[in-house]
Parts: sequence; structure tokens; C-alpha cells
Amino acid sequence: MILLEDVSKFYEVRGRGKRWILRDTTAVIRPGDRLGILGRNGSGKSTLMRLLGGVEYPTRGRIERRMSVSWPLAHGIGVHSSLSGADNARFVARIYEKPVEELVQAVDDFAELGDYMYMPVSTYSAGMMSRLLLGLSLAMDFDCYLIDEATSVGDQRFMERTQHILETRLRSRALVMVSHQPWHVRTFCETAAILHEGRLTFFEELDEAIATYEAL
Amino acid sequence: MSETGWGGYRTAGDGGGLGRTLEGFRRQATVVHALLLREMQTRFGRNQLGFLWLFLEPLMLAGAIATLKSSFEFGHSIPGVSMFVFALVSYLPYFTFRAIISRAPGTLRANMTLLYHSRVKMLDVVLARHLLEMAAVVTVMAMIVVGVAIWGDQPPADIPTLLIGIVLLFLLAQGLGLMAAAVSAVSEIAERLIHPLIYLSLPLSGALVPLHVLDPMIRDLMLWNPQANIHEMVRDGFFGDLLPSYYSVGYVLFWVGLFNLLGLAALRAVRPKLEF
Repeated sequence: MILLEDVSKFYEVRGRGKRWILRDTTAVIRPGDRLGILGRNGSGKSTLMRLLGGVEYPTRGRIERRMSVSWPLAHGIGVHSSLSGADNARFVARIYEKPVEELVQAVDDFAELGDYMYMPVSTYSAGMMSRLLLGLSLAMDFDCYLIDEATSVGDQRFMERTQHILETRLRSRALVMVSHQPWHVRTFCETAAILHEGRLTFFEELDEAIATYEAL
Repeated sequence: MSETGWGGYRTAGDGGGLGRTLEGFRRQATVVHALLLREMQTRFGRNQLGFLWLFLEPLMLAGAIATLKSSFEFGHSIPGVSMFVFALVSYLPYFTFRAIISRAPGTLRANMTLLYHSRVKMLDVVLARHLLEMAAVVTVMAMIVVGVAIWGDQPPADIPTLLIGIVLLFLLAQGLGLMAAAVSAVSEIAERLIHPLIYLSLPLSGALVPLHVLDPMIRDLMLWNPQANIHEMVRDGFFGDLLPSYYSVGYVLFWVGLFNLLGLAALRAVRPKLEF
């Protein structure tokens, strides 16, 4: 479970006062939740992900993580660009205390990077990067996955594989995905929320959320 | 139940206070170990010289200074103490001291993306780099000691004193480096001031002049600086009775402890303010 209690977050913008990301937000993310958060560019979706992942701290209020939460999966985040995919997998395995070579194998099996597994990550295309990141974090077996960019799930084939894994092996895990594309949310999520001008509004029905978002 | 930002979560069978502390230390050691391996890989990865450079850089700089000082007899002659060896033994630890403090802010900034992994703390990132620098300087020092023992026929007077001196200097730099990294993370002006301050403090560091040749009044003033005490200690470990030295280990330990505690507190204070 992730609990947000009266959480506020703003940045000081030079000469323009405060830019609010969240205002007095209280929310709960439970195991098994599939939550999609819709928001326009610049609405603070990535910041919200960093708050959930404990990377950035709220200005006020508290966020309590009672389950293991992945790092926010987005292009180039959490990997070192001059190291190979395999070396990055080894590093991540070591810090999360997982069996190193087994994890490298698991990532390789999922990401299907072939020889690129042993090339520096800086040479990866966006799709390869997302496969690596997703392979890394799915092999990690977190209780809750944070997916920051819709592109983080790769092309059609990998979206289907990811969806399959999430629906079978990882059925009891939570997923929080942010996107500005309603169809991503429709593919992966069961409930949705809209982040707009510091307000996080939850919807029971996906269709209602998407309709509201499109009317913004 | 974990507090905001600690990133961890309680696992089943989690012990009480002491158990959690020990688990925390164990986990930190794991992370620092992973960071060390990664740091070495990236150094190897860029080019084959990357790793060698770790040792060559301090050795070459110390060697160059030592050569300059001895060939121009720019210094003080003490019977039995070669100017070249003196400069080597003085400048090498000083070089590491300066490098650790001035690189700490950059180390942190370059590795911000690592903080996305909630198990990696700011301290771990800086600690891993410092351990590597420390290992390099001890290796280089060992090479110098062996070299001087063979070709200069002058074995070190007291290896434990020499080694403890270097470790103390490293710990002092570590405390100051933590503070420098923390301050730089929130203030650009402070970061720009760090370099000039380090250079201006060179004459006060006691690194390049044996305190024995100074006027007793100036010497007493210099000894207020814990760093001067440590350089004296390192030289005492190397030259022993050849060169009378002046230092207080207790005084150094006090400042080492204080700086490190302040550094840790500063890192903790700036962590919630970091923007990614």
C-alpha cells in the first residue's frame, strides 16, 4: 500500500512564485491496483512518479510506502549510459540483493536485446532502452511498478508481452502509469485519475476519466 | 512502516531497533560495494588508461612538485631528509585531500540518477568514490615507500603512524567533502567558492613546510589547523627522528568526528530539497 496524506508539492519558479504539482492530496494505492494517471505535458506527472517512488520528497504531508515500489521507469532513468545492459543488470541486481547472473539471464530473456545486451546503453534505441528497463524491473519483482512514460512499454509485441506478464505472474502487483495518451491507460489500467493544476481527481470508470480528460 | 523518503519498507520478521540498524548497515555496505564495482567498470570502460589514471594522476603530480622543489632547492634543508622525498610524502596526501573535497559536489551531481533507486543514498555515492580514491592513494604511498626504501635506502620509520595519518587525513577530507557536496547541491555560489577556498588554504594546511623550521609562535598558530597536525603525523611516520614533528592525535580526532557529523547532518538536511 502507498499512502498519501495531505501531500503538497510545489517548485519555486524564479520571479513567478510557486508552481503547484499537488495540493493537499490524500490517496491510497493498494496491492493489485491498476491506476492510470492522465495529465497534459507539464502537469507534473513525472514529479508525481518521483514522489511515489521516494526519489523526491513532498513539500508538505507524508507519503508512506508499505510495499516495495519500483523506481519510476522512464527513458535512461536508473541506468548508467556508458555501461552495457548486462552490467547495468548486474548493478541493479547487487543493490536490490538479487542473484546476479540469474537476473542478467532473466533480463536478456525478456528484453531480447541479443548482442546489444553487451553494448553500452548509450547506443540503445528508445525501444531497446524500454525493453531493458522493463526487463530489469519485472525481474526485480516489486510490489508496485511505476511506469513514467508510455513508450516505456516498447512496441506492440512488447506491450502485449508486458500486459501478459502483468495479468499472470504479476497479477497481485500494483501498477501506476502516467501518460498523456488515453489509449495507454485503456490498455493497462482499470481505474484512472487526472492530474490537472495540482489536483488529482480519481474516477471509477475509465471512460468517464478519459472523457473528462479530453474535455480539459 | 517506513517514513517518507526512506524508500525501504518493513519486511516480515524485521527485528527491533538494533536489528534494524544492523540491517541498515548491511544494506548500505551492499550498495557501496555495488557502487564501487560500477565505478571501476565505468573507469575501465571509457578507456584502458582510466583505471591506471587513478594511480598515475596523484603519483605524477606529487612527482612533479617534488622534482621542482628539489631541483630549485626551493625549501628548507634538513640533514638526512631529501627534499624530493619530503615533497613526495607531503604533497601526495595533500593532493588526495584536495581532490576529495573539490570533487565531492561533482560526484554527487553526476550520480543523481542513481538516487532513483531508493536504496542508494547520497552518502553511499560519495562514500564509494572516496573509498576508491583512498585505495588509490594508499597504493601509491606504498609504491613510494617501497621505492624510497630500495633506491633511497630509507625505510619508513613507523608504518602504523604513517598509515593512520593518511586515514585520518582521508576522514577529515571526507567530512569536509560531505559538507561541500551538501552545500553545493543547494547553492551554486557556494560551489564556486569551494575551489578558491581550497587553494587559499594551502599555506595554512601545513602540507609543504615542516613545522619544525617555523617560528614557534607561528607553529603554534598552525597547529590550530587539524590538517597541519595530520601532515606532521604522516611525516613523523615516514621520517621519524630525522625530522622532529608536532601533532596531537586527540585534537585531530575531535575535528574529524565533528566534520563528519556536520557533513552527515548537512546531507540529510539538503536531501528533501533536491530537485531532479
